[in-house]
Amino acid sequence: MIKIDNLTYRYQADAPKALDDISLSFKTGDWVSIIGHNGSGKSTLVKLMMGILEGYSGEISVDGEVLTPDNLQRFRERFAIVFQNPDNQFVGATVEDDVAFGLENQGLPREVMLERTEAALEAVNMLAYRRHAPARLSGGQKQRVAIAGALAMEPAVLILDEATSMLDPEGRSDMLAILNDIHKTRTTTLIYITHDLGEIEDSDYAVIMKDGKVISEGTIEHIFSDTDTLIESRLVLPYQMQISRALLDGGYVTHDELVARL
Amino acid sequence: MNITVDGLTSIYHAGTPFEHIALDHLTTTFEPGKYYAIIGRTGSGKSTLIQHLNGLILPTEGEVQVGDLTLGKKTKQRIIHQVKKHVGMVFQFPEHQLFDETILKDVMFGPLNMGFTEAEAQARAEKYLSLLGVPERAFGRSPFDLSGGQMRKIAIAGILAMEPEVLIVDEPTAGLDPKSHIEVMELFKRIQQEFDITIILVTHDMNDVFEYADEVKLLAAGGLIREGPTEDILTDELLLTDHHLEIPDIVKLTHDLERKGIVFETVPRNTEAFITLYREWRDARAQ
Repeated sequence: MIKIDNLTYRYQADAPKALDDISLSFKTGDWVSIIGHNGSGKSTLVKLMMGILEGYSGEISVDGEVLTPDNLQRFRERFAIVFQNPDNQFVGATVEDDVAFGLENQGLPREVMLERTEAALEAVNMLAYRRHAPARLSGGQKQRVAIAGALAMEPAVLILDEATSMLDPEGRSDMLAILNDIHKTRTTTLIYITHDLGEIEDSDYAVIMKDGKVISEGTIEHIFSDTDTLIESRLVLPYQMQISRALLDGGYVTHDELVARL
Repeated sequence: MNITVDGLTSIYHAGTPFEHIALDHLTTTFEPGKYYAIIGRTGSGKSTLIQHLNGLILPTEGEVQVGDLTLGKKTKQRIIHQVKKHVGMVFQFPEHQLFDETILKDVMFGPLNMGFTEAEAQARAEKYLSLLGVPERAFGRSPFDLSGGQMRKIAIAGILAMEPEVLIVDEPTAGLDPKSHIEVMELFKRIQQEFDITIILVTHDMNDVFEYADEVKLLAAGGLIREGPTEDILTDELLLTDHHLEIPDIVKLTHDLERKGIVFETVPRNTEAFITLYREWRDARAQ
């Protein structure tokens, strides 16, 4: 479990609060989405969680262990992150070198490295590309390799920081399908950061952020039960929710439910 | 300004083992003032085609006629320069091309480069920045202090300030948050209507194509597969699926409702229009 208590953070002493008294807890193995407009604090929150930023007030713990300057290194090893730009995260000459790269510092036996690399590429459906050069892959394929690289480290928590925002719709839906698979077959906690309310359908839990504060949190049904708050948070409702708001009771519906109820 | 593409063939690395035919005898036209979308999966030739329309690449075979200027295999730089004045291009992530120390200077760069005086360039820059809703007090600020969506607007203003008659936009919403996405798409529609210029949009987002474009050209493997009114092409679910394109949300919804016996008189092109049509249908049935 990840637990965050009364977390407050400023980038500079005289700057406004980037995070303002945030308290949250995430269950192990859950798929958690954090949604907010640009500058709402969602990326700051995960950077603090991973021990990348210092100088906050409040407390962060994972499975009961509180983050302190002494356990920082070990704490960070629980997390892996995939960023927005597929072109900025490759070091290896081939896909499999790239995935294995992160493991090389861990002093693992060669067989274990190979096994993990293979399993991770299998999980993202990229094993057939193991000997390809990362540069020649499509954006969606690159992001899947980046996920494999993260998974191979066997982190307790995998963070995806707007990892689909630069992909075309096909790349995006492939990636969401793969995350769904990972969610079903592994116990890794997924933290999915996005500004798109249309991408959170499969999450177990969602957190809406605005101006450094948590505005709303809960299940997807709960989040969508108050669409006014979402609109005030400068988010755009998915089409089926816009229609539900105008023509039905405004509650959460999927496409199929909408068709059934109209 | 009319653009006519006649038997356009484009080959990369011709005569080498890497030879690749990107466009294969493609013929089509773009009429003035219309909003076009070029669609097709990655590698279908979309990007190659638009680069031919403003002379960034010259044909291996065939011609591109831009007004009374002709782009062929051996067209001189002087003609290409003329073409670029008429056909503006907003590349993917245009904000990466911002460079100047102030917003105003950045937007003035294009007109200055075209030979306008400092005063003329400034007048144009101010006009288009205001049009995009950039307040005058921000003109002197650095473009690099802005958010991604705002930076993109400044970059677009820089292209508009050259007053092209045709504006090509390549994946203009990639990486933007949903609010900025809507703003940028609304902006191009407004530009088309207010200035009567041709818009040529390249995108993977079929919801945007369905909502904004008048006409669609569907490319696959370097050839033109279909062209015509958006309403005809984007409602053809089989065609879209065959070409690995998404079916617009509203098309899916309208078709699903038709199977339930709910049929509208016109095809809604966005969520708002859908809601209006559904209300009308419901009211008509109640009577």
